[in-house]
Amino acid sequence: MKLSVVVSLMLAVIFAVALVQLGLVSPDFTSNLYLAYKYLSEIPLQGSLLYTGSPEIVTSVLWDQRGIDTYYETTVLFLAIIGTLYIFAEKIKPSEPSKEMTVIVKLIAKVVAPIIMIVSISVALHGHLTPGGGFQGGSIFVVAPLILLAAMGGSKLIKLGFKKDSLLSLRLTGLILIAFIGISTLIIGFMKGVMGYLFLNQPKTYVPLGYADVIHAPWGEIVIAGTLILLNLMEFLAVSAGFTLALLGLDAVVEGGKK
Amino acid sequence: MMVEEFLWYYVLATIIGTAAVGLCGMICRPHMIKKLVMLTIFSDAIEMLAVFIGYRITATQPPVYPGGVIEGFVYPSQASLKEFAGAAVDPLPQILIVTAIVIGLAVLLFLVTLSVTAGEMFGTQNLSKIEGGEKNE
Repeated sequence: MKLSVVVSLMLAVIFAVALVQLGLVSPDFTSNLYLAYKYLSEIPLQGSLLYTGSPEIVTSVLWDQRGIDTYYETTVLFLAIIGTLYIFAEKIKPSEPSKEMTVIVKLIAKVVAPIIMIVSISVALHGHLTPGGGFQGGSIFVVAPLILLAAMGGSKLIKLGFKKDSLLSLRLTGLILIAFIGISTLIIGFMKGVMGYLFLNQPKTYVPLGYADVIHAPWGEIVIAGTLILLNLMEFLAVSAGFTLALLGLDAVVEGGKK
Repeated sequence: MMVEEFLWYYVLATIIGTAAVGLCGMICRPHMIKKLVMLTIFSDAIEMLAVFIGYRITATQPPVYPGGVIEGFVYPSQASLKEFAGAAVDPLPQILIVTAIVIGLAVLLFLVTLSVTAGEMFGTQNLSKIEGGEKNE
Protein backbone atom coordinates (compact mmCIF):
# COMPACT_ATOMS: atom_id res chain seq x y z
CA MET A 1 0.00 0.00 0.00
CA LYS A 2 2.71 2.49 1.01
CA LEU A 3 4.76 1.50 -2.04
CA SER A 4 1.91 2.23 -4.44
CA VAL A 5 1.24 5.62 -2.78
CA VAL A 6 4.91 6.56 -3.23
CA VAL A 7 4.99 5.25 -6.81
CA SER A 8 1.86 7.15 -7.91
CA LEU A 9 3.02 10.38 -6.25
CA MET A 10 6.41 10.04 -7.97
CA LEU A 11 4.69 9.38 -11.31
CA ALA A 12 2.58 12.52 -10.81
CA VAL A 13 5.62 14.68 -10.03
CA ILE A 14 7.55 13.30 -13.03
CA PHE A 15 4.49 13.88 -15.26
CA ALA A 16 4.08 17.49 -14.07
CA VAL A 17 7.79 18.31 -14.46
CA ALA A 18 7.81 16.73 -17.94
CA LEU A 19 4.73 18.71 -18.99
CA VAL A 20 6.27 22.02 -17.92
CA GLN A 21 9.82 21.20 -19.17
CA LEU A 22 8.67 20.05 -22.63
CA GLY A 23 6.71 23.29 -23.02
CA LEU A 24 3.34 21.56 -23.40
CA VAL A 25 1.87 23.67 -20.61
CA SER A 26 3.27 27.04 -19.67
CA PRO A 27 1.95 30.16 -17.92
CA ASP A 28 3.62 32.30 -20.61
CA PHE A 29 1.19 31.37 -23.39
CA THR A 30 -0.48 34.55 -24.46
CA SER A 31 -1.74 33.59 -27.93
CA ASN A 32 -3.02 30.42 -29.56
CA LEU A 33 -0.82 27.83 -31.26
CA TYR A 34 -0.76 27.58 -35.06
CA LEU A 35 -3.37 24.83 -35.54
CA ALA A 36 -5.84 26.37 -33.10
CA TYR A 37 -5.29 29.78 -34.71
CA LYS A 38 -5.93 28.31 -38.18
CA TYR A 39 -9.16 26.60 -37.05
CA LEU A 40 -10.41 29.69 -35.20
CA SER A 41 -9.73 32.12 -38.04
CA GLU A 42 -10.69 29.96 -41.05
CA ILE A 43 -13.72 27.85 -40.09
CA PRO A 44 -16.31 30.69 -40.14
CA LEU A 45 -14.58 32.37 -43.16
CA GLN A 46 -16.59 31.95 -46.36
CA GLY A 47 -14.51 30.64 -49.26
CA SER A 48 -11.85 29.08 -47.06
CA LEU A 49 -10.96 25.38 -47.43
CA LEU A 50 -12.06 24.67 -43.84
CA TYR A 51 -15.40 26.55 -44.10
CA THR A 52 -18.32 24.73 -42.45
CA GLY A 53 -20.94 27.47 -42.22
CA SER A 54 -21.04 27.30 -38.43
CA PRO A 55 -19.72 29.85 -35.92
CA GLU A 56 -19.13 27.03 -33.40
CA ILE A 57 -15.54 25.79 -33.76
CA VAL A 58 -15.85 22.75 -31.47
CA THR A 59 -18.83 21.17 -33.26
CA SER A 60 -17.34 22.03 -36.68
CA VAL A 61 -14.06 20.22 -36.01
CA LEU A 62 -15.88 17.37 -34.28
CA TRP A 63 -18.21 16.53 -37.20
CA ASP A 64 -16.46 17.99 -40.24
CA GLN A 65 -12.68 18.04 -39.97
CA ARG A 66 -12.50 14.83 -37.91
CA GLY A 67 -15.90 13.30 -38.72
CA ILE A 68 -14.65 9.73 -39.30
CA ASP A 69 -12.90 9.71 -35.92
CA THR A 70 -16.10 10.81 -34.17
CA TYR A 71 -18.05 8.14 -36.06
CA TYR A 72 -15.75 5.42 -34.74
CA GLU A 73 -15.97 6.86 -31.23
CA THR A 74 -19.75 6.48 -31.53
CA THR A 75 -19.07 2.86 -32.48
CA VAL A 76 -17.03 2.38 -29.29
CA LEU A 77 -20.03 3.72 -27.33
CA PHE A 78 -22.26 1.26 -29.21
CA LEU A 79 -19.95 -1.65 -28.34
CA ALA A 80 -19.85 -0.74 -24.64
CA ILE A 81 -23.65 -0.69 -24.48
CA ILE A 82 -23.89 -3.95 -26.46
CA GLY A 83 -21.56 -5.49 -23.85
CA THR A 84 -23.86 -4.26 -21.06
CA LEU A 85 -26.93 -5.65 -22.83
CA TYR A 86 -25.28 -9.03 -23.42
CA ILE A 87 -25.18 -9.53 -19.65
CA PHE A 88 -28.45 -7.86 -18.70
CA ALA A 89 -30.92 -8.00 -21.61
CA GLU A 90 -32.81 -11.10 -20.47
CA LYS A 91 -33.54 -9.57 -17.08
CA ILE A 92 -35.55 -6.58 -18.40
CA LYS A 93 -39.14 -7.70 -17.70
CA PRO A 94 -41.98 -5.19 -18.11
CA SER A 95 -44.57 -7.22 -16.18
CA GLU A 96 -43.07 -7.25 -12.68
CA PRO A 97 -44.22 -4.29 -10.52
CA SER A 98 -41.31 -2.48 -8.91
CA LYS A 99 -40.95 -0.36 -5.78
CA GLU A 100 -42.17 3.25 -5.96
CA MET A 101 -41.27 6.33 -3.95
CA THR A 102 -43.75 8.68 -2.20
CA VAL A 103 -46.28 10.95 -3.97
CA ILE A 104 -44.10 14.05 -3.53
CA VAL A 105 -41.13 12.52 -5.31
CA LYS A 106 -43.29 11.11 -8.11
CA LEU A 107 -45.03 14.45 -8.74
CA ILE A 108 -41.76 16.42 -8.79
CA ALA A 109 -40.23 13.83 -11.14
CA LYS A 110 -43.21 14.14 -13.50
CA VAL A 111 -42.77 17.94 -13.56
CA VAL A 112 -38.97 18.01 -13.90
CA ALA A 113 -38.39 15.20 -16.41
CA PRO A 114 -40.17 16.82 -19.43
CA ILE A 115 -38.27 20.08 -18.82
CA ILE A 116 -34.96 18.20 -18.88
CA MET A 117 -35.96 16.46 -22.12
CA ILE A 118 -36.87 19.78 -23.80
CA VAL A 119 -33.61 21.41 -22.68
CA SER A 120 -31.62 18.46 -24.05
CA ILE A 121 -33.38 18.61 -27.43
CA SER A 122 -32.68 22.36 -27.57
CA VAL A 123 -28.99 21.79 -26.77
CA ALA A 124 -28.74 19.18 -29.54
CA LEU A 125 -30.66 21.27 -32.13
CA HIS A 126 -28.58 24.42 -31.55
CA GLY A 127 -25.32 22.50 -31.41
CA HIS A 128 -23.98 24.26 -34.50
CA LEU A 129 -24.74 27.76 -33.15
CA THR A 130 -24.09 27.65 -29.40
CA PRO A 131 -21.90 25.43 -27.20
CA GLY A 132 -23.46 21.97 -27.18
CA GLY A 133 -24.29 19.24 -29.66
CA GLY A 134 -25.36 15.64 -29.97
CA PHE A 135 -23.11 14.17 -27.29
CA GLN A 136 -23.93 16.87 -24.72
CA GLY A 137 -27.67 16.84 -25.47
CA GLY A 138 -27.81 13.04 -25.27
CA SER A 139 -26.04 13.03 -21.92
CA ILE A 140 -28.48 15.64 -20.55
CA PHE A 141 -31.46 13.63 -21.85
CA VAL A 142 -30.42 10.52 -19.90
CA VAL A 143 -30.99 12.37 -16.59
CA ALA A 144 -34.77 12.41 -17.23
CA PRO A 145 -35.22 8.59 -17.48
CA LEU A 146 -32.86 8.25 -14.51
CA ILE A 147 -35.09 10.48 -12.33
CA LEU A 148 -38.23 8.62 -13.50
CA LEU A 149 -36.48 5.29 -12.85
CA ALA A 150 -35.64 6.28 -9.27
CA ALA A 151 -39.12 7.70 -8.59
CA MET A 152 -41.41 5.21 -10.30
CA GLY A 153 -39.43 2.07 -11.04
CA GLY A 154 -38.49 0.30 -14.25
CA SER A 155 -41.90 -1.19 -15.16
CA LYS A 156 -43.64 2.23 -15.14
CA LEU A 157 -40.86 3.62 -17.32
CA ILE A 158 -41.35 0.80 -19.83
CA LYS A 159 -45.11 1.56 -19.85
CA LEU A 160 -44.30 5.22 -20.66
CA GLY A 161 -42.77 4.09 -23.96
CA PHE A 162 -39.11 3.42 -23.18
CA LYS A 163 -39.32 -0.15 -24.52
CA LYS A 164 -36.24 -2.28 -25.06
CA ASP A 165 -36.78 -3.07 -28.73
CA SER A 166 -37.78 0.47 -29.74
CA LEU A 167 -34.79 1.97 -27.92
CA LEU A 168 -32.45 -0.53 -29.60
CA SER A 169 -33.88 0.21 -33.05
CA LEU A 170 -33.71 3.99 -32.40
CA ARG A 171 -30.06 3.60 -31.50
CA LEU A 172 -29.33 1.56 -34.63
CA THR A 173 -31.19 4.10 -36.77
CA GLY A 174 -29.02 6.91 -35.41
CA LEU A 175 -25.78 5.05 -36.13
CA ILE A 176 -26.85 3.92 -39.65
CA LEU A 177 -28.04 7.42 -40.60
CA ILE A 178 -24.72 8.92 -39.46
CA ALA A 179 -22.93 6.47 -41.77
CA PHE A 180 -25.38 7.21 -44.60
CA ILE A 181 -24.92 11.01 -44.29
CA GLY A 182 -21.16 10.40 -44.25
CA ILE A 183 -21.17 8.53 -47.58
CA SER A 184 -24.10 10.38 -49.23
CA THR A 185 -21.84 12.90 -51.04
CA LEU A 186 -19.66 9.99 -52.26
CA ILE A 187 -22.72 8.28 -53.78
CA ILE A 188 -23.99 11.47 -55.46
CA GLY A 189 -20.48 12.18 -56.78
CA PHE A 190 -20.22 8.64 -58.15
CA MET A 191 -23.55 9.04 -59.96
CA LYS A 192 -22.62 12.44 -61.39
CA GLY A 193 -19.07 11.40 -62.28
CA VAL A 194 -17.24 13.87 -60.01
CA MET A 195 -15.02 13.36 -56.98
CA GLY A 196 -16.39 13.32 -53.42
CA TYR A 197 -15.03 13.03 -49.89
CA LEU A 198 -16.21 11.03 -46.88
CA PHE A 199 -18.09 13.26 -44.38
CA LEU A 200 -18.05 16.15 -46.86
CA ASN A 201 -19.96 19.18 -45.62
CA GLN A 202 -19.41 22.23 -47.85
CA PRO A 203 -18.15 22.29 -51.47
CA LYS A 204 -14.34 22.20 -51.70
CA THR A 205 -11.87 23.26 -54.40
CA TYR A 206 -12.17 20.31 -56.77
CA VAL A 207 -15.50 19.04 -55.41
CA PRO A 208 -18.60 20.97 -56.51
CA LEU A 209 -20.89 18.84 -54.26
CA GLY A 210 -21.96 19.68 -50.75
CA TYR A 211 -24.75 20.60 -48.37
CA ALA A 212 -26.28 24.07 -47.94
CA ASP A 213 -24.87 26.29 -45.20
CA VAL A 214 -27.77 28.78 -45.02
CA ILE A 215 -31.43 28.30 -45.96
CA HIS A 216 -33.16 31.40 -47.35
CA ALA A 217 -36.65 31.18 -45.87
CA PRO A 218 -39.34 33.83 -46.57
CA TRP A 219 -39.01 35.19 -43.03
CA GLY A 220 -35.19 35.36 -42.99
CA GLU A 221 -32.03 33.26 -43.20
CA ILE A 222 -31.64 30.09 -41.15
CA VAL A 223 -28.09 28.87 -40.48
CA ILE A 224 -28.09 25.05 -40.68
CA ALA A 225 -24.37 24.52 -41.38
CA GLY A 226 -24.83 21.61 -43.80
CA THR A 227 -24.38 18.19 -42.26
CA LEU A 228 -23.68 19.47 -38.73
CA ILE A 229 -27.33 19.82 -37.66
CA LEU A 230 -28.28 16.40 -39.12
CA LEU A 231 -25.30 14.60 -37.54
CA ASN A 232 -25.97 16.30 -34.19
CA LEU A 233 -29.58 15.08 -34.23
CA MET A 234 -28.58 11.51 -35.15
CA GLU A 235 -25.89 11.46 -32.47
CA PHE A 236 -28.46 12.74 -29.96
CA LEU A 237 -30.77 9.82 -30.86
CA ALA A 238 -27.95 7.27 -30.57
CA VAL A 239 -26.52 8.50 -27.25
CA SER A 240 -29.85 9.08 -25.45
CA ALA A 241 -31.45 5.79 -26.54
CA GLY A 242 -28.30 3.79 -25.76
CA PHE A 243 -27.81 5.16 -22.27
CA THR A 244 -31.53 4.80 -21.41
CA LEU A 245 -31.32 1.16 -22.48
CA ALA A 246 -28.23 0.51 -20.36
CA LEU A 247 -29.87 2.20 -17.34
CA LEU A 248 -32.97 -0.01 -17.75
CA GLY A 249 -30.76 -3.10 -17.74
CA LEU A 250 -28.83 -1.96 -14.68
CA ASP A 251 -32.09 -1.20 -12.83
CA ALA A 252 -33.49 -4.66 -13.68
CA VAL A 253 -30.44 -6.33 -12.15
CA VAL A 254 -30.48 -4.19 -9.00
CA GLU A 255 -34.22 -4.89 -8.52
CA GLY A 256 -33.66 -8.61 -9.16
CA GLY A 257 -30.85 -8.71 -6.61
CA LYS A 258 -33.05 -7.25 -3.87
CA LYS A 259 -35.59 -10.12 -4.03
CA MET B 1 1.38 38.88 -12.92
CA MET B 2 3.10 37.17 -9.98
CA VAL B 3 -0.24 36.28 -8.37
CA GLU B 4 -1.58 34.93 -11.66
CA GLU B 5 1.51 32.79 -12.17
CA PHE B 6 1.33 31.43 -8.61
CA LEU B 7 -2.37 30.59 -9.08
CA TRP B 8 -1.56 28.91 -12.42
CA TYR B 9 1.02 26.60 -10.83
CA TYR B 10 -1.29 25.99 -7.85
CA VAL B 11 -4.17 24.82 -10.12
CA LEU B 12 -1.78 22.63 -12.16
CA ALA B 13 -0.46 21.00 -8.96
CA THR B 14 -4.01 20.44 -7.66
CA ILE B 15 -5.16 18.75 -10.87
CA ILE B 16 -2.12 16.47 -11.09
CA GLY B 17 -2.39 15.67 -7.36
CA THR B 18 -6.02 14.64 -7.85
CA ALA B 19 -4.98 12.41 -10.75
CA ALA B 20 -2.31 10.84 -8.51
CA VAL B 21 -4.89 10.14 -5.77
CA GLY B 22 -7.14 8.47 -8.35
CA LEU B 23 -4.30 6.35 -9.76
CA CYS B 24 -3.17 5.29 -6.28
CA GLY B 25 -6.70 4.34 -5.24
CA MET B 26 -7.22 2.38 -8.44
CA ILE B 27 -4.07 0.34 -7.70
CA CYS B 28 -4.28 -0.31 -3.97
CA ARG B 29 -8.00 -0.48 -3.05
CA PRO B 30 -9.16 -4.10 -3.21
CA HIS B 31 -12.91 -3.38 -3.51
CA MET B 32 -14.26 -3.15 -7.07
CA ILE B 33 -16.69 -0.26 -6.46
CA LYS B 34 -13.92 1.80 -4.85
CA LYS B 35 -11.75 1.05 -7.89
CA LEU B 36 -14.53 2.37 -10.16
CA VAL B 37 -14.96 5.55 -8.06
CA MET B 38 -11.22 6.14 -8.26
CA LEU B 39 -11.29 5.48 -12.03
CA THR B 40 -13.86 8.26 -12.51
CA ILE B 41 -11.82 10.64 -10.33
CA PHE B 42 -8.69 9.81 -12.38
CA SER B 43 -10.36 10.27 -15.77
CA ASP B 44 -12.08 13.51 -14.72
CA ALA B 45 -8.76 14.91 -13.49
CA ILE B 46 -7.11 14.04 -16.81
CA GLU B 47 -9.95 15.70 -18.76
CA MET B 48 -9.65 18.77 -16.50
CA LEU B 49 -5.92 18.83 -17.30
CA ALA B 50 -6.69 18.76 -21.03
CA VAL B 51 -9.01 21.77 -20.69
CA PHE B 52 -6.40 23.52 -18.54
CA ILE B 53 -3.73 23.08 -21.25
CA GLY B 54 -6.03 25.02 -23.61
CA TYR B 55 -6.28 27.97 -21.21
CA ARG B 56 -4.76 31.30 -22.34
CA ILE B 57 -4.10 34.20 -20.01
CA THR B 58 -5.19 36.78 -22.60
CA ALA B 59 -8.26 34.86 -23.78
CA THR B 60 -11.62 36.45 -23.10
CA GLN B 61 -14.03 34.34 -25.22
CA PRO B 62 -15.23 30.77 -25.69
CA PRO B 63 -14.43 29.34 -29.17
CA VAL B 64 -17.77 30.47 -30.64
CA TYR B 65 -17.76 33.33 -33.17
CA PRO B 66 -19.97 35.95 -31.49
CA GLY B 67 -21.25 38.19 -34.29
CA GLY B 68 -23.80 37.95 -37.05
CA VAL B 69 -26.06 35.15 -35.87
CA ILE B 70 -28.78 36.71 -33.77
CA GLU B 71 -29.26 40.08 -35.52
CA GLY B 72 -29.54 38.99 -39.14
CA PHE B 73 -27.08 36.67 -40.85
CA VAL B 74 -23.88 38.23 -42.27
CA TYR B 75 -20.80 36.29 -43.40
CA PRO B 76 -17.92 37.24 -41.05
CA SER B 77 -15.04 39.25 -42.50
CA GLN B 78 -11.36 38.25 -42.34
CA ALA B 79 -10.37 41.12 -40.03
CA SER B 80 -13.03 40.35 -37.42
CA LEU B 81 -12.05 36.66 -37.53
CA LYS B 82 -8.39 37.52 -36.86
CA GLU B 83 -9.46 39.57 -33.87
CA PHE B 84 -11.66 36.67 -32.69
CA ALA B 85 -8.82 34.12 -33.08
CA GLY B 86 -6.59 36.27 -30.90
CA ALA B 87 -9.15 36.52 -28.12
CA ALA B 88 -10.58 32.97 -27.94
CA VAL B 89 -9.32 30.00 -25.93
CA ASP B 90 -7.75 26.96 -27.64
CA PRO B 91 -10.64 24.77 -28.91
CA LEU B 92 -8.64 21.59 -29.59
CA PRO B 93 -8.50 20.14 -26.02
CA GLN B 94 -12.25 20.71 -25.69
CA ILE B 95 -12.85 18.84 -28.96
CA LEU B 96 -10.77 15.92 -27.71
CA ILE B 97 -12.58 15.53 -24.39
CA VAL B 98 -16.20 15.96 -25.59
CA THR B 99 -16.30 12.39 -26.85
CA ALA B 100 -13.99 11.10 -24.10
CA ILE B 101 -16.50 12.07 -21.39
CA VAL B 102 -19.43 10.24 -23.03
CA ILE B 103 -17.35 7.16 -23.86
CA GLY B 104 -16.01 7.19 -20.29
CA LEU B 105 -19.61 7.06 -19.03
CA ALA B 106 -20.43 4.11 -21.33
CA VAL B 107 -17.31 2.19 -20.31
CA LEU B 108 -18.11 2.91 -16.63
CA LEU B 109 -21.60 1.39 -17.14
CA PHE B 110 -20.00 -1.70 -18.71
CA LEU B 111 -17.53 -2.06 -15.81
CA VAL B 112 -20.38 -1.67 -13.29
CA THR B 113 -22.26 -4.51 -15.01
CA LEU B 114 -19.12 -6.67 -14.85
CA SER B 115 -18.64 -5.97 -11.14
CA VAL B 116 -22.33 -6.67 -10.38
CA THR B 117 -22.01 -9.99 -12.22
CA ALA B 118 -18.84 -10.78 -10.25
CA GLY B 119 -20.70 -9.97 -7.04
CA GLU B 120 -23.46 -12.41 -8.00
CA MET B 121 -20.95 -15.14 -8.90
CA PHE B 122 -18.59 -14.89 -5.90
CA GLY B 123 -20.84 -13.34 -3.26
CA THR B 124 -18.42 -10.46 -2.75
CA GLN B 125 -16.94 -7.60 -4.74
CA ASN B 126 -13.79 -7.46 -2.64
CA LEU B 127 -10.94 -8.80 -4.76
CA SER B 128 -8.85 -9.87 -1.76
CA LYS B 129 -11.71 -12.04 -0.41
CA ILE B 130 -12.35 -13.90 -3.66
CA GLU B 131 -10.84 -17.36 -3.51
CA GLY B 132 -7.83 -17.69 -5.80
CA GLY B 133 -7.80 -13.94 -6.29
CA GLU B 134 -4.82 -11.70 -5.93
CA LYS B 135 -3.89 -11.01 -2.28
CA ASN B 136 -3.65 -7.32 -1.47
CA GLU B 137 -1.89 -6.18 1.72
